[in-house]
Amino acid sequence: MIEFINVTKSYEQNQADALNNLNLFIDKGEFVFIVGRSGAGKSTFIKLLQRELEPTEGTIKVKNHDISLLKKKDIPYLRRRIGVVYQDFRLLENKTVYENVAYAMEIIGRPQSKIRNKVPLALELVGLADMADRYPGELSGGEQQRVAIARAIINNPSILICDEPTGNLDPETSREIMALLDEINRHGTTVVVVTHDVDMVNEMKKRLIVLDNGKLIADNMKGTYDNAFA
Amino acid sequence: MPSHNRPSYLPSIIKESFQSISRNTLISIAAIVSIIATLLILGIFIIFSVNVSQLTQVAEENSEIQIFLLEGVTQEQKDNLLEILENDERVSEVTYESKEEALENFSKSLNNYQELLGDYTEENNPLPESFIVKTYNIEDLAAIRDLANEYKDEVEYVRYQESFINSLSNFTQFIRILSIGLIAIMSVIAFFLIYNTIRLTVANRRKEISIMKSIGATNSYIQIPFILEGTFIGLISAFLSVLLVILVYYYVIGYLSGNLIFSTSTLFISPRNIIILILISFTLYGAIIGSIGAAFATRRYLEV
Repeated sequence: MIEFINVTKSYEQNQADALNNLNLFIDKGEFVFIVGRSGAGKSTFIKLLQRELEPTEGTIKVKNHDISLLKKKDIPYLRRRIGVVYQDFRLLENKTVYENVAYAMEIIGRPQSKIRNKVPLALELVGLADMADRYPGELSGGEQQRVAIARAIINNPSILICDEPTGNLDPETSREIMALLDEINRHGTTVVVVTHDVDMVNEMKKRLIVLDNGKLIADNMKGTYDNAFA
Repeated sequence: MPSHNRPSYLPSIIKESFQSISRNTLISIAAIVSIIATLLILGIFIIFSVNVSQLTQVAEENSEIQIFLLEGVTQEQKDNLLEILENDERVSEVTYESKEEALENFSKSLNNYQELLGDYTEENNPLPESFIVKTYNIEDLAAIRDLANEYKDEVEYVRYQESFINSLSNFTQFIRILSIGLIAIMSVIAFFLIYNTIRLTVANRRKEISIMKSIGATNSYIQIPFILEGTFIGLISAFLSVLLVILVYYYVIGYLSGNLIFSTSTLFISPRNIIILILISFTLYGAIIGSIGAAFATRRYLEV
């Protein structure tokens, strides 16, 4: 599903968050944690996958297609395949919960009838069915996170990427969010969670990839952070 | 709890364009005013050109010289001159106008002001008799004038119109260059005002744009509302300008009709006849400058 082959990304200015000859393969339907200190290359990883950035060297494949071969006009279609939940949620403050989620369908040209059917189902899935009319400013961090997840999955992406999904949440809410991601994964979506929340990684016992200084230093199935370096 | 603002059936793109125009009221108005100013100049130019070309055509069709004869020339002298004129191969038509006919024609041309001539009768008619000469080519009129002027015993003077046509076309040329220059300058100003209006809108919605891009909206999907917004600004300006120009033209013609002794209906093109030309040219201009300004304003932001 996702394949990085000898990928190097260097920045002219600073070396932080660069990637150094990274090789990794994530299969369809996997649930993967990518862990590392800040500056380890996590956000570069996401930007490369969305082709917001291009690698200095190496090849990135999504669904077996080399994404560097995509024409500019086809990049949006790559991004529709990859739902991203951002650390800062990136919700539109002047739109309701319902509208924020519907928006993702509108911009790819889905008809209103489809939108009216599907948005309530997604809100149901993330547990926000009764908050459709609220504005993001009225919601807690965990609720906003759920809206962002609903928006990211509304167009049935093959891959869901979450950037620090539990970064600002208390442990109880974090656990609920992870349970939600686990459920989405069980529906067949490949889920990649980029985080430095070690406790949660250890609790979930999923595949764990550890990045440090742009290099892959550990890749364990059912890994915990404590034994990642064992 | 805030009301649930369900996405309307009206395509959301169009709705957002209007919202955006009303959000940036001041700069939108500045852009609209500058386009209206440009279109007013264009309107004046169109009205002027259309009228001048009608005037020139009328003048050319009626190009003639009128050879006024001295008081008391003999019938023999007249016949002699008439023969010379008629035998000239450049001349297409010679008409004799007697003193009586001259008075009658002048009286007719005065429309409702015929009482001005009330004191003149056939006995004290001051108008001279004349030959009205037309040529096949308008350029030959000058030569015929020179020819006629050689008969000093018969000819008092020759009325010759070509100079009027010449000065008319020189004046038209001047107005054309002036208008094109002004329109070019005003268009640049209008372009930048639209450009800035849309830039502001784009800046206001940067977060939205980056979200749209990350969800996979195509560039054209992102760009279209902004281009529509620019086009709307152009079109609003165009329609206001059409109204303004036509109203002013009606008013001016009405004013002239009330103040000129000559009938204006033959002299000026009726507003009804140019409203289509104005409507089409203004609409095109508004839509084009609006959309191009907006396209330039959005292009840079979309490079991700």
